[in-house]
Amino acid sequence: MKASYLGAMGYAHRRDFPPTWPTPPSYSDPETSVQSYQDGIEECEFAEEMGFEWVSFSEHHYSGRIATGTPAVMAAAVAERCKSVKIAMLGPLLPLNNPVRAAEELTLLDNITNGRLVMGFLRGTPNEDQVYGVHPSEGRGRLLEGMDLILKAMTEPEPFSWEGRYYQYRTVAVWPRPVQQPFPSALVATRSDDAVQYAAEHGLGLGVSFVPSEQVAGITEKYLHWCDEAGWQPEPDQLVFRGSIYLAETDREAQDWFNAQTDQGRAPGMALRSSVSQVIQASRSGQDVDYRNVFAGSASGDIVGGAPGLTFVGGPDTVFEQIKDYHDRCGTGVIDLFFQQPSLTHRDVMVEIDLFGREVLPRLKEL
Amino acid sequence: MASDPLRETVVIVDEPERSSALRDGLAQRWVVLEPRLDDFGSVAEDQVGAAVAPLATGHYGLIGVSSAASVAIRHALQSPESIASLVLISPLAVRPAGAPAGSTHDLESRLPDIQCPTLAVFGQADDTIDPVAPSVYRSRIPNCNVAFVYDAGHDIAAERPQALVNLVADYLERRETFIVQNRASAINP
Repeated sequence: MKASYLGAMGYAHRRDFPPTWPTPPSYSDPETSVQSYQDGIEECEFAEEMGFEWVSFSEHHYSGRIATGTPAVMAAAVAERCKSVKIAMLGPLLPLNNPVRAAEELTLLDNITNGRLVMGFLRGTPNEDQVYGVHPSEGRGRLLEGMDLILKAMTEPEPFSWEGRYYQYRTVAVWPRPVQQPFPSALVATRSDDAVQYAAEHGLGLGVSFVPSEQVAGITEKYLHWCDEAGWQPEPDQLVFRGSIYLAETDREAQDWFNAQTDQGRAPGMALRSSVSQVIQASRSGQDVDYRNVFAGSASGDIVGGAPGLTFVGGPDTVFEQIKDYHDRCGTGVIDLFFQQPSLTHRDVMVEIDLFGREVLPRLKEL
Repeated sequence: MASDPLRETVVIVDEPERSSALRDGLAQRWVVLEPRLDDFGSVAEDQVGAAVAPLATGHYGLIGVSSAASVAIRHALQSPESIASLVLISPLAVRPAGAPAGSTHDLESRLPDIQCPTLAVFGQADDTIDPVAPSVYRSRIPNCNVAFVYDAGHDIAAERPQALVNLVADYLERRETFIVQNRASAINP
């Protein structure tokens, strides 16, 4: 089993952010921000040194918690410092982006890393539907079409036009071609049947995030069934799970820390006003929304969609068993870990990476 | 079939009864002729010429669909002076490498002789087309654009009729300059 370090590049003072998304830009002090990115890059370098085999990046907008709205830029910077790890782009969020631009960024990354790119396609969390003006009901269709267009753009040797349902491009000729042929390692990050089936039918891996192993096992079972129907079986590296982690020297120490976070309301997440969340969810599922009823939330809060909770909490033995459970039950081959909990400092995270690398990772590699 | 001197002509070569969506869509703008062919054999291009000559006014757009695309290619090679543009929809003139030599093999070698602007259209999910075929048309025909229609297989007219009509109409209208965006995108000008 392999471990991946999520390069969240969180802003150093993220513990002071208001609970709702988006985080106002006024919270970003340039000097602190510059240092935060340097700290984040240093964490990636140290993770590589400690034996992590992937460093991942995720597209999240308008927030200093995961401060990589343009993950390809961040990935390129880290790829120059980390010379052996896989660079896993888990983003980009396809419904939000021009798929041709995404293809160009990905093939360029595959070139500057000499074939170390892993690309993941996903729709994104509901809050992301508020950026770039994409209708929430179009997310699923844009994801499926975007994946087809990106794969076509990476594999077609001559210029072509694309007549889609959501995208029309009359000249597509992505340059450079990817180093990995016919296209870089790829997975679909999803829990939805149609996207899981797409992954299976196209020989792509599967990524799942932030849900219990029982739920991941159910999704994986369907995926493996559809892979079997398509006549292939995925490699361990094609089953990826992303979870949040807090690792301490002992279970007691970790639990004390976790209890303190809950008490202080510092759980991570992308919380929204309930009214906004209602509209997005209804729109995503194609329902008509009566706005006269929706905009009744209180001015002071009424917040939903906060922390999904930590997936892995404890001392080294406990965390190892928690991760092993995903391996044994779901076939997870790569565990992508989000270490930067809101209240932690850069030094705290470095200590965790060191402990994970010494006490947990060697045992994971034997699975 | 009737001619109209005020409108340009488009000729569709296809299997009988299959092009209705395309025909109906293009008929809004062009006089559409659909010559009936006995088969798609070696004299079919002569039948196209004979059927169209008395009716077409000036140059005409020529569309060939699926197996009949080979007839359209042969007619374009035979009568280059008559063809304003050629549209090949799900064409089968390029066969997979290793396929037995035959009439399509001979036709493939003549693709560089096509003189008119050409658009080759493929369903993005068409598994009857050799994956390298689109690039063969694009690289061998001197002035050729290739388009993929998303969410369509071999019978694009049935699966994405409006997308196909819009694409073909735009190409017939503007030929190779169809790659230039001509729709304004200002929201509040």
